[in-house]
Amino acid sequence: MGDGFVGRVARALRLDTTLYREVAVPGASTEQAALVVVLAAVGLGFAQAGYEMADWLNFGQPGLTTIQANAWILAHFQNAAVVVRTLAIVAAWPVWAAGLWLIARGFNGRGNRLPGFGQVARAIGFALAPGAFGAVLLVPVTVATAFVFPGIPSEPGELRAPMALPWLRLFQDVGWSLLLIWVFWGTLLAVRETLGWTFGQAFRALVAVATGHGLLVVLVLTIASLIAAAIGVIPDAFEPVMTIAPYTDLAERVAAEVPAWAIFGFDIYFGQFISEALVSPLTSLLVIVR
Amino acid sequence: MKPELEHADEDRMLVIRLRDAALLTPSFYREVSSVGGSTALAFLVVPVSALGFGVATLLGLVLAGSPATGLLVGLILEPLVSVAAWFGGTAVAWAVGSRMATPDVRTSGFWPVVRALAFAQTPNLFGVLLVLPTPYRGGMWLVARLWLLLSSSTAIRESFGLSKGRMLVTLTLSAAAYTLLLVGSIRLLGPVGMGSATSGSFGLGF
Repeated sequence: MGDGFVGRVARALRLDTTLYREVAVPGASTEQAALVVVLAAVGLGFAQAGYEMADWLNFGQPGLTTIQANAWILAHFQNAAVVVRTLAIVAAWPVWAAGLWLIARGFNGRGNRLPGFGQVARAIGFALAPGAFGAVLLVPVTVATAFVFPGIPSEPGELRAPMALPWLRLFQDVGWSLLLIWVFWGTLLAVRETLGWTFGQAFRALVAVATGHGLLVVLVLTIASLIAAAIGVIPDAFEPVMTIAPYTDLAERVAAEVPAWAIFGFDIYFGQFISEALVSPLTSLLVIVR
Repeated sequence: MKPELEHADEDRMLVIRLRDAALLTPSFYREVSSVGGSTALAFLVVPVSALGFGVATLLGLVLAGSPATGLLVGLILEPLVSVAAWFGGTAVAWAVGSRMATPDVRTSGFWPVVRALAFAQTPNLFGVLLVLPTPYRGGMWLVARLWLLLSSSTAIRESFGLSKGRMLVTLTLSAAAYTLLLVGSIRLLGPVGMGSATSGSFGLGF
């Protein structure tokens, strides 16, 4: 159908290894691969929103009132946050393709064939196809927020069905794990087929690219933080979106330490994963720059 | 063939064409940009596709208690503005792309490019998904917009036969003209509810 787009997506979901060689052929449609990336990215963006929602509700549930839960939902479930997350995943696509292509060039000295950047990008683009199913993971969270937390922001009260939360969390954990394994396995196969590597080589290359991408993200955010501080946009921008009683301290502490992440719509949780060792010097530097 | 059967065939043909356009089928865009394609059908595709966002606006304004404004803005103003933005973007694509294309593309004229870029508007139909609640709405908005960019990219590449670099230049300038016209119209007509499905001005919040 239509130069096989739907068929190709179905084959990508089945992890058909012949697909990756087919789409890597020079002259194949890069736009179709990009469309798969966009759909997968929005699916993963939804899944991430659902996961963090379930995680936070479990973590912060004791003593949480309806008004607090609703405030958090409004603050965290913004459309803009999903847009930023999705764009970040779309932007990661050429970065990963470039990383793999550079590694392939390094291997080329041993007589391996050298694929073009576009070939690698198309193959790993289609490998992301299972990510589109991530949208499914957001559905139970959305339903839960509608029924477990009735949308009456003006009436404080205890949560109605806290017993639903562990199940919600379990669904998210299992769903996320399956989704990530599916995407990772597809990417591994795509890399192996496109570049003619063994599984071991493909795995090591993906680990190297993932590490490089992580470092790049930290670098970009650090530079962006410094620039934002230098031009003076931080003081107004890093105010917490909503004040939520049980988390006021945490939100303020993390937002104050990594203000630029708030600007770019990243979650305050991102700050929790960064060690004090990194955050403290960065904070000091930001203070100096300001 | 009976007239009703002819209509059924035409409808089916339109659906298949919209499907091929949405699935970014390169051969389809080559076909519609070849000499002899139906320009009238292509002209129909632009306002019909714009109804995607238009219906979302209509439903949003109906829910906000302004059904008359919803009908006016969603079903009349938004399609008209989309047609104007598409025509502006297409004119810029032609002005830029034809200078970089081979002579045979230049001599085939403006209309093949018009047809290809008209069918490239098909992803606007997904704008109807802006009726979904937050945060789905943000994701659907992004998907519709990026999908439109990718379909325009395919249409420009296939109708002009440009290399990747030249195609990107043409696409960037064309998309800039399209966006400027669309955003300008929304700012101008915003007070009457134009663009409210995207901006969330009827209370859903972006």
